[in-house]
Amino acid sequence: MPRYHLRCRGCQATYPADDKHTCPECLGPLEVIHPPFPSSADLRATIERGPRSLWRYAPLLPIDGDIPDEAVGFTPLIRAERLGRELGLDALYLKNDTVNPSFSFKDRVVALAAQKAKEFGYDTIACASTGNLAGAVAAAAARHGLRAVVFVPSSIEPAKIVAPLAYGATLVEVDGTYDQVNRLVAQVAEERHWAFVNFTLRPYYVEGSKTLLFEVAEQLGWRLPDALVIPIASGAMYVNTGKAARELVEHGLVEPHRLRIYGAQPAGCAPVADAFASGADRYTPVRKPTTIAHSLAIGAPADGNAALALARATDASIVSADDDAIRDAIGLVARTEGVFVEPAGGTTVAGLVQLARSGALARDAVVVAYLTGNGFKTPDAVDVSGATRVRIPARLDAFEQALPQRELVEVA
Amino acid sequence: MAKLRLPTVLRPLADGAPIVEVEASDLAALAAEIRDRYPALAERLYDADGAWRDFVTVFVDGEDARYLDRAAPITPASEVQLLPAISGG
Repeated sequence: MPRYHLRCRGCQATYPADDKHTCPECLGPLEVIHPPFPSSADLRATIERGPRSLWRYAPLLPIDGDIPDEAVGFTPLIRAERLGRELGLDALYLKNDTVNPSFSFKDRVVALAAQKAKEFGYDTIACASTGNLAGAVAAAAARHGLRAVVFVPSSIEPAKIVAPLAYGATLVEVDGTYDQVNRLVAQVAEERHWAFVNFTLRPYYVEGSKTLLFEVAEQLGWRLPDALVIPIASGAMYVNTGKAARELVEHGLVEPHRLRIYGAQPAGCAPVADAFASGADRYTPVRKPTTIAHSLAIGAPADGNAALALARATDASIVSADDDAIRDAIGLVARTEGVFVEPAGGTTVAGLVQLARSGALARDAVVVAYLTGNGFKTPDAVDVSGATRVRIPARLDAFEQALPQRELVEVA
Repeated sequence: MAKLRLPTVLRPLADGAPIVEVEASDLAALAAEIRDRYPALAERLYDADGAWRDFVTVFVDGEDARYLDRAAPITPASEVQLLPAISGG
């Protein structure tokens, strides 16, 4: 018998941990509930002896089979001194999740879902994706010997189309927004016995998001930061970060601490940030997103209302940034910290800039921003027109002419 | 007659059928028809005020019913799709 079970987020009805994803009573989404561990000292030691991947947190995850040998997660927590100086933050950290196997945090959620798909006996994993998830599903399927079918809007970035194909997935490009893809996949999921990671296996899939905060807490010496800044698309990572914080305290791994969880959305698709700003309890869907942050372009986020409630409960906020601010932020974090992020990361950093400059983040606060996707997937989103760039014939005089030495250097 | 497409989890409440034909010509009439023919299904779909319950997602000819009012027309060629809370993302 697993030590965890499923519970409906709507009516609180409980169910055994099978591949059910919808509450038969109220149609609400189900989530995994883990009872607290009897000994936090034993648990901490077990984790610290574990592999240098998200699987070190297996005791806190809904897994029954063998732990896979795969290098997903346990990504660097960078002490961002140079960016911190620019923003007036003395203890700023960046969680660099751009270095996962398929170069986004989606490898975490898929790691959980692929494992559960195998446990439940599925031979095909599938998803609706804005791009990163498609790559992560396709890569995991290749690693686990499963078949992958991925659905994406036909308008996403070329690199995010090529990657799933290279990994051997069947790609379904849909003419429409992500929300239209989502609806189609919700219908297909009713008809095909495939493990749709973000639909039929969603209770387990979202558990992978928690591992970001598990790692941050361990990397900070088993403590929670004062503030997190997180991008919001469907809101699943945001909401499950709140769940992770609660579980870390319940399991006795960290002391209770006031953690403010800030969210960031692109202004061209900011249903949750707009609802936060207007004081509404429920968001109004965005029908036609217009933003360079394609991976955050979800107009009807599944966990949007739960994200709103969490932001208010943690005394934080959800902000939005326009495309120019997102481009500037991509450049800022690249120039100061040497991390090249995609527009979702740019949105997070733009949100961080906004929060720091408005005084919402105290100078001495321990602040962690999640960088969730790699900029090499979205090179067209970057503005490098102001950078120094010359093209010359292969001759020294041409080089000297193009980049003249300003001062003579005396050699002792 | 218009088609009402049901998700697996709701089919037992409509005699196991994946698709039910309905005569309703707008969303308000659909609610009345479901209440009349499948009261247990209506219980899951509508709250006491007749509004869709929180976790029900409804599309009329591909249009999210959240954008439509209760007088929105349903034609004999229409398809009304019921889904649980849409996840994704």
